Amino acid sequence: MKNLILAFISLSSAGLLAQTKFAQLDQLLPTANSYRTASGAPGNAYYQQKADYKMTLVLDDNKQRLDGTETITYTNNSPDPLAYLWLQLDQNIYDQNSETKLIEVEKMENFKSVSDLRKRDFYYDGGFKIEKITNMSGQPMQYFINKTMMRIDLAKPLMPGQNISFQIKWWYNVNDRMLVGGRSGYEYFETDQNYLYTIAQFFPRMCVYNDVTGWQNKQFLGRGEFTLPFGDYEVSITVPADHIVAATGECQNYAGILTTEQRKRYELAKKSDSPVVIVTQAEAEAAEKDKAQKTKTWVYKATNVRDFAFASSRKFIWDAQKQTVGNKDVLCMSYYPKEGNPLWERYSTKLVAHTIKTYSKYTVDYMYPVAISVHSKWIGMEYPMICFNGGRPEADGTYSEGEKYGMWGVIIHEVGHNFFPMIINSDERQWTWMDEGLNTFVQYLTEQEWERNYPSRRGPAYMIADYMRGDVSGISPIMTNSESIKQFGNNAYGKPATALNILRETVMGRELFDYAFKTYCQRWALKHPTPADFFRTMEDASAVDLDWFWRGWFYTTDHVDIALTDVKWYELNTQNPELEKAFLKQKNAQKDEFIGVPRNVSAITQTVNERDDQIDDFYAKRNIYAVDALDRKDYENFVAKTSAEDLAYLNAGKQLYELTFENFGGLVMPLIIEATFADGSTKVERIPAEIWRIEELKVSKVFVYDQPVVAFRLDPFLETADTDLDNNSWPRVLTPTRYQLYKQEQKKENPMQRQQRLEQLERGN
Amino acid sequence: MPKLLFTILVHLSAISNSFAHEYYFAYAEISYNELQQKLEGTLIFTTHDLERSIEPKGTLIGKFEKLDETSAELKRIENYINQHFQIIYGCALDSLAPDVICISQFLLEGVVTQLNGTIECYISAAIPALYNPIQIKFDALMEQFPGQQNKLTFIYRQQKETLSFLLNDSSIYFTLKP
Repeated sequence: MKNLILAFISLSSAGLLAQTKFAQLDQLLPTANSYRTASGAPGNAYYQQKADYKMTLVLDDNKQRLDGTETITYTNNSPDPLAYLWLQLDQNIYDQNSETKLIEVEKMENFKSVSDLRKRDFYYDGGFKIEKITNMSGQPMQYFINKTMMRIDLAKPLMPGQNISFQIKWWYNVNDRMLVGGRSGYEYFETDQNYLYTIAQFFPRMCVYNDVTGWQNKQFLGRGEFTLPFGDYEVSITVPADHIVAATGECQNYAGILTTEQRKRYELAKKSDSPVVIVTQAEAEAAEKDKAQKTKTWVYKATNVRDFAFASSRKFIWDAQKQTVGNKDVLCMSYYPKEGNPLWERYSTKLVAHTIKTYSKYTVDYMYPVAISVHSKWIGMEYPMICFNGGRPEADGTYSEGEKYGMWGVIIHEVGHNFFPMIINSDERQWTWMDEGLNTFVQYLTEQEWERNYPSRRGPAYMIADYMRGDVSGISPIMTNSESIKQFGNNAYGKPATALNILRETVMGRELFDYAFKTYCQRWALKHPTPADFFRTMEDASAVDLDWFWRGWFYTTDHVDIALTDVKWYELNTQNPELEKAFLKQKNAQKDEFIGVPRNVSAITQTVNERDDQIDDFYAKRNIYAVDALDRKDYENFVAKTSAEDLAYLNAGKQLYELTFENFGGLVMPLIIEATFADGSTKVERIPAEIWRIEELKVSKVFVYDQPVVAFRLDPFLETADTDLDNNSWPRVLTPTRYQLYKQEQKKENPMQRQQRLEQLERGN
Repeated sequence: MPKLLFTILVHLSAISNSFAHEYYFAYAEISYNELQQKLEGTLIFTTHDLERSIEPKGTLIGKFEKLDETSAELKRIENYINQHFQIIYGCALDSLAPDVICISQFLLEGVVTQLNGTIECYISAAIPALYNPIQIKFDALMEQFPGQQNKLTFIYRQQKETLSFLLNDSSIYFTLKP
């Protein structure tokens, strides 16, 4: 540290680097138009298509086969005539000719065993079997299947404002999810020889047609999920008579399905604030043994949803409770086999209710009548009003703490997907982060409201630092198509969730952020937003220019590494010769002395000028630290010309520090600096990121305090995802490695041994 | 083109369970302690990924959360780390033999499982001399999860460098800076 006299203040001239990090996103975002405005809101010409479905489904529990007949009514709300329609055939990724396996990059090292090779080559007769497509007069319609997409050619274009109805008859063999994987399928329980079906992406579904993509008919390769138009559903599902069905929407015929006792429990659950069991474990276990051969048909209706899914099993235990959101009650329900207990009966429905309530606070009120969590080993997958979640205890009913948190996290996350993308219906096939990232962010908020200090997997800024630091060749910008993302989880879930957390906690503040985020959700609820709509709305509703943030965090792989590289210490020159000359004298006395000087004092008994008084002249005799009359006169003149306030400031003993910051990581961020003073007190300075707007690599800032600072620390609250904390402190403080922390905390004795020692000490031994 | 023989295991389970998720990462933080002449550090894995990689049949799933100092699985973890996290380094104590190289042999000093689903493995290896060239192989978990990406932050004389390891690039040459 340098203690210098600041004789006058000089302003350094700013450099003239080309502006890049703060350049506006204009060239990167689509031009605003009447469909989507520059404010990020839907425009006056915004439209979206509608697809209504009436389906009759039959689940064959003996063959694990699903047959369906669906009538689609498609309404063209666009200004464009449509010569053909595109539908999605997701089941075709299990077709023998599917490209999903072909495009997997493989190396021989991937195959360690015969089973690995067998798994690679495993094939079952999957994929849709389309039996016929007819118009409502029963006349065949012309269609063409291109892998996971199907085009239906219309006899004449569907004009704006018109609708068309047609019927598709299909079936497919349900996949063994435990064997071939997938987001849906069945699990076979060998112990009681029963199946648990989680059925989704099971029917030919309309593609989205809109102003952004035209037809969104990018092939389904397995990772980039779905984009679907909203519509109304009427679905009848025929299953074995002892199966319990959970599905998107509200069941229309419980009276003909449930026992009288179960209906009573159901009615009780609708009014209850805690879970009420509707189908008990004893009833489920009895069904497991009996295996009914007759069938029952469950009828569901769902309004304004983008998809439909269901689960069916005779193994299901079923409980429910209400959760009030706004002015209506949502029925929160869980369906699980006995293998899910004791975790599921204790937590699942309460988690569903908590998630619906908390997400509604931060986004929009949940707008559907039910929210369902279905037990499904290993996976977590979401559909409107229903999701399939992992979290299975050991066979003996025990579970680890990690399994408990894993189950909690996946239920909150998947139920949270009801908001992103089921209600705020982004294009998952193109942008994974728009649903997974935003959802993971609100998941973090929801977890923290479930349990104080909940060990969230993602959200806090410091947790993303390991992923972002160093060589970036293996990672992608967030703004990358879903199928091409490297490090999918960190890229599409963790980094965007962290970025939003940083916006909320550091860049915008909670109040501004929450308002803007809710505005986005309200604007785009039950609509199809794009990234630009999100970026623009967050700025539009907050008056915070965030282009630098979107550019850095979403369009690059830069990371945060801002270093505190220099600290200079100054005090003000009071101009008072009594003070300043004394100060200079003291500084001179404190100067380091060359070794020859003291040695000469003892070795040379007398110098020439000490012997001869004619040697020393004016220069030799003057005392430069002495205050003379002229000094005093000058100071009197200075005082006469200076205001009392300025004089008081000059004499206040102010301590000035010039701190230099260097940007090594590329991402510009606000500077959060904590100063620790000699008396132990601290002060936190928050400098907005715009300090980097001209000089993007190196900036300095002066801080003025009333007492000396003993230490500065950058990012003391771990809020910027800084990847190297070792260069954040003055004086330099090395962050201990994880290994060093482990060794410091490593105890040679267990807590009970320590207690024994403590008791011995207290007894005086 | 010559045909190569490729030996694989036969007696694993018939078809291993599908196990898919999207959280592929592992991180290592290794520093050279010049006073003690040791490499010291921490490897962080997703717990279930490590369980799955050490035992592809899945029989270890859920086990690592319950490890204690006497668990036999600790030795399996140590062996796995030494197979899939190797530092190959110049180690000649005699300047007349500059080409001598050694391979790290890490001792697993302890593990801690975290509630966020990760396991931290604390390791050290006696390294009397550490010279260039250094080659680091870090392909842990990649055989089970081809999308795996591993990152290593190497700390030497207070300088940090972070390296990324991918399935097709799991061995990297690294130069110590004085």
